[in-house]
Amino acid sequence: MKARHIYKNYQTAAGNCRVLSDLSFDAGPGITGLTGPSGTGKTTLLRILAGLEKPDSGTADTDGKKIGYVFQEDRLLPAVSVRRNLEFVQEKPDRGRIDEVLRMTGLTEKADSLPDELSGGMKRRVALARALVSKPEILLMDEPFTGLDPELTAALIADIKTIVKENGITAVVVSHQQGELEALCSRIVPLSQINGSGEYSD
Amino acid sequence: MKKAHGRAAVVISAALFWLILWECVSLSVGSELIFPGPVRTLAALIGLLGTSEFYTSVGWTMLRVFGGVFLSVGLGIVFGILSGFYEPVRTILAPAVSTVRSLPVVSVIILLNLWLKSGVVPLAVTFFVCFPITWTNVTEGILSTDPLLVEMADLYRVPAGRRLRDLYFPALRPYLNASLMNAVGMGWKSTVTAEVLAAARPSAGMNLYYAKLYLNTPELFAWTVALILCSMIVEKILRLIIGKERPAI
Repeated sequence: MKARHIYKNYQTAAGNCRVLSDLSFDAGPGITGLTGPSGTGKTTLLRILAGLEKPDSGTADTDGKKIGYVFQEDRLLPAVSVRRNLEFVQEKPDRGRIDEVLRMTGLTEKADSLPDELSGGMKRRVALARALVSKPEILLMDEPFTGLDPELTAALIADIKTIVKENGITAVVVSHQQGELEALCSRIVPLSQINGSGEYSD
Repeated sequence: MKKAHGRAAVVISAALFWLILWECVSLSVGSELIFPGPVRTLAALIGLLGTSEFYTSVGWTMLRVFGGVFLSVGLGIVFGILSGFYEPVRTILAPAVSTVRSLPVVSVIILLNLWLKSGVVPLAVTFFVCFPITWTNVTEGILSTDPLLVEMADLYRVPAGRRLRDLYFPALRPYLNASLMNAVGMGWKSTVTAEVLAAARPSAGMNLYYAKLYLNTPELFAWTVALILCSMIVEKILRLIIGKERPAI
């Protein structure tokens, strides 16, 4: 996965705001953490890598690999069960894979629950399970531990590390919590180093 | 249990209050021809219930109400979904729907009476009255679906059928319920009005009109009561099916 010479501007009430400037970035298997203060373009970079936003110039290339995305918000379908939330994003319904991911994320007991019946931690697990259910080769995670207590965060970090390792996934995680990134990532890239003139290569 | 009994007592008391008031007004008017009381109306209603014409007329009226409502709700859902997804469809339909909505019902009835058979006019009128309600509700429902969920579905390239089933229909449900309840309510009124103005036979509307024409006011009241009861029963059944209270319009 690579991004080359990415520029991204936003129009705000105060005028033109440049978020990403000549940013280049490579990531390979394992978990890469992107860190930096709020408003420095971490989420924007992740969204560009996922194809949710287009850069003003430059290219982001994921080699057509399958992407799983853990959004900052849970973004769960409120009216359907956890199982149907996972089935929703599958190319073809595959109950076996859903059961496997539910087991992997500790959600087997909650398969038939509605999202509103789950705790915050469980909802984050469902968001992670949804990102994994289509066997992604690239996993992008935007502040995946927001709103979770330290115990839950630690448990989820351990799970993610195992899942990424076992499945040979290239993962990029964005967080402004340095401690979370250190516990989770094999390498951490401060966005300030690659935004502007810098470049990071795996 | 006690609370339920209390509530029933309040409802019965309220009904008795209005029945007594109705009887008092009738007595003070002093003429059955102008304002019959509840007892005389009930007697007329029982008389009507013993005729086969009553059931034929109510049956045809119901058929027109439901025909119009289901046609309008069905097409309102289809075009509402298309309008919610595709701005050009919305742009084309919006002025037409807005015009139909602003047209007085009487104008619609008279115009349609020029072009259609009298028996079909009430059904077509109900369609024109109810379609804008459903179309507007469904379009708004689609447009107000959480954009974050839509973006999630875009990312995973979720096919249209699955999006409709799991994402849009649950979001649309309250809008659909509201439009169905409103359409049925409006459907009754517009159908009976159209039946009278288009002289549709057999119909409850025409029986209402004949009762007035022959100065049979107790029967006029009895038909009115019968139509109110039919409307209430249908609404109750619909609520049971929908399983929701009528949302605010």
